[in-house]
Amino acid sequence: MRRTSRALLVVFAVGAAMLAGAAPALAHGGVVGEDLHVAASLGDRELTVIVRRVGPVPGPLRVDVVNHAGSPGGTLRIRAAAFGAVPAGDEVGLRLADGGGLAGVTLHVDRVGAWELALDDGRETARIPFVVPADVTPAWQWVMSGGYTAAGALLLAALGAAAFGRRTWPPLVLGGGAATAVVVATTAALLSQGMPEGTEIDPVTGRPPATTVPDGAARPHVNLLADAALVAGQRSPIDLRLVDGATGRPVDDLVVHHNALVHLVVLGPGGQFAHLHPARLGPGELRVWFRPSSGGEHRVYAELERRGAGTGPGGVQLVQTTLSAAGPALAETTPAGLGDRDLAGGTSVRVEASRLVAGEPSVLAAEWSEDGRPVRDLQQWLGMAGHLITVGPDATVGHVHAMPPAAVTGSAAAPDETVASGGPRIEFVYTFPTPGRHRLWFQVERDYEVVTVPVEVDVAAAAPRAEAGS
Amino acid sequence: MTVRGRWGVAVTALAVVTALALLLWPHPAGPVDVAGAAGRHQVRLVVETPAVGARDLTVEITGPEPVDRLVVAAVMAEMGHAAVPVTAVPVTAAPVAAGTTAPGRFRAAGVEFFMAGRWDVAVTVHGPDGAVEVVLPVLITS
Repeated sequence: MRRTSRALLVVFAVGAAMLAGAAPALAHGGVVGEDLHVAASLGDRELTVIVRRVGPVPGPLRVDVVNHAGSPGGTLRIRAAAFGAVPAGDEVGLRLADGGGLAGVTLHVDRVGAWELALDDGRETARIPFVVPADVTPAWQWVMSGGYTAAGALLLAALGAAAFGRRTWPPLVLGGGAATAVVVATTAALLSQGMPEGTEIDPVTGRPPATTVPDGAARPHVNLLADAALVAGQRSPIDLRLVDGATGRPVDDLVVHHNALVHLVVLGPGGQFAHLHPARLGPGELRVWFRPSSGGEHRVYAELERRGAGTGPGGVQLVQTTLSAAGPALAETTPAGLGDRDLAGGTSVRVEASRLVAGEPSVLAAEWSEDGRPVRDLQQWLGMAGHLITVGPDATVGHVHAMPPAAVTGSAAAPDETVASGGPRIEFVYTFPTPGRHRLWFQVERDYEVVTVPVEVDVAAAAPRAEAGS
Repeated sequence: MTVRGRWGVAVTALAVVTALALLLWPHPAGPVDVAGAAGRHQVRLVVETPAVGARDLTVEITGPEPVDRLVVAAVMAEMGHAAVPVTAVPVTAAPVAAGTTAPGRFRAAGVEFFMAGRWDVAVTVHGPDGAVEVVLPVLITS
């Protein structure tokens, strides 16, 4: 009898060792949802709203708001409401610091599903959609923890039966059961390694999808309507309407894409540039405040992403329109080309590029320094180490990203905007589609301020291409 | 049951667990070996370790024309990322004389695959008549 018990102990020890080996799979099995970062310009403020990962529901909801340099401080009224329901809890006041920084409040969520976070600055209310996901435990995890629990219980019972029982068969049967449970649990733990991380969550309901919709079908195109009475030198609102191209209904299925619902690029008649993030006021309605430096016709590009079929992505669209501003048209001073230049506050930047030939990938880099020392405290803006916007002679628009170093090392956790460890060199890879004069804007964040460096480059024509095939 | 029988049961159970563990233990992905045609060149691309990080790629070129320069540029279309293009260095001489078909072997060091997923690796062959390109799919695991 003692030998049987010993043999079973060996089996159990092997199983336990395997469980230890499979531990990393457990770590990401239960994780559902992640921090949501949304950049939005609300009134005079440039904000990044961070909705932290939600734990069990009902429970607390942590919301942090990053204010940027140049945005006034003051109090925002914040409240969360489930879609189409009475707001849960009271409005909470959030005190923003002058000159940039992070402030947070704790709200309460009481159900799984689509939610809206309302931020009121006294003049306008931005409504940011988010989804509280159900905390779903994958089936393999149930099998695994159940299996090991059963194995433990059966083993104890077998030991008890062996020590105190009179018959020979109960310990054997119980021990066999324990071994079977270990095998089942270990199989589940090992199989889980090949399974996708987390569980698929329907972006509307916050629960695992009830029906399987084939992914990949894209939603219709979006029409962009812009309404504004712009005057050069005055800050006034641009009201945007997004309308579905197939039904004419408001488009209210935008997903947060590169940390914003909509990235708006406004180009003035003299090459003036602005990269803005309109705040959502309601379904298909967004607003952003803008001060044109010049009168004349402005080109407006909106980069957005609609939700796709099922849980799949819907694809990014770039929709455009024009707005005219009253006042004299001013030509912006032509930006410098490659090389060194001094910026405000003792900062300087060196812009470099590998050979610029149309159709060949080029490496474009901006290296930042302050008083001769390399800058190592750049912050992530919109989840990236840096952004590069390009406009070509034929009005092609490029939006290029530099990956933050965390992603290069394969870490899943994205650091906040508050972590200042980027720089000094931010590199981009872009293939200019056409030769000619291209205007580029390098954008990075430092001390909660977005720094934009305009550059003009000439791209050479490609050598005549050899005949493809033969 | 005899003592031997009990040991038998235990050893069998152990063997089953071990066999399952060996069968299901996660294996690192094998090398990626893809091929395509860039103009009149046959291009074969081998990624020994298709995992996230800086990887060395081997490119084999078979063709009737000499190769002046070979550039490997990886793009992750899904995420809109492009890795820094790497000029491959010849390991064995590329076919120089017209008409030779012996493969030239090139090595592109440190191509940054910084995310897991499907990458498109563009191999551009610069020759006397200009550049031709082939785009080959590579699946990168984490």
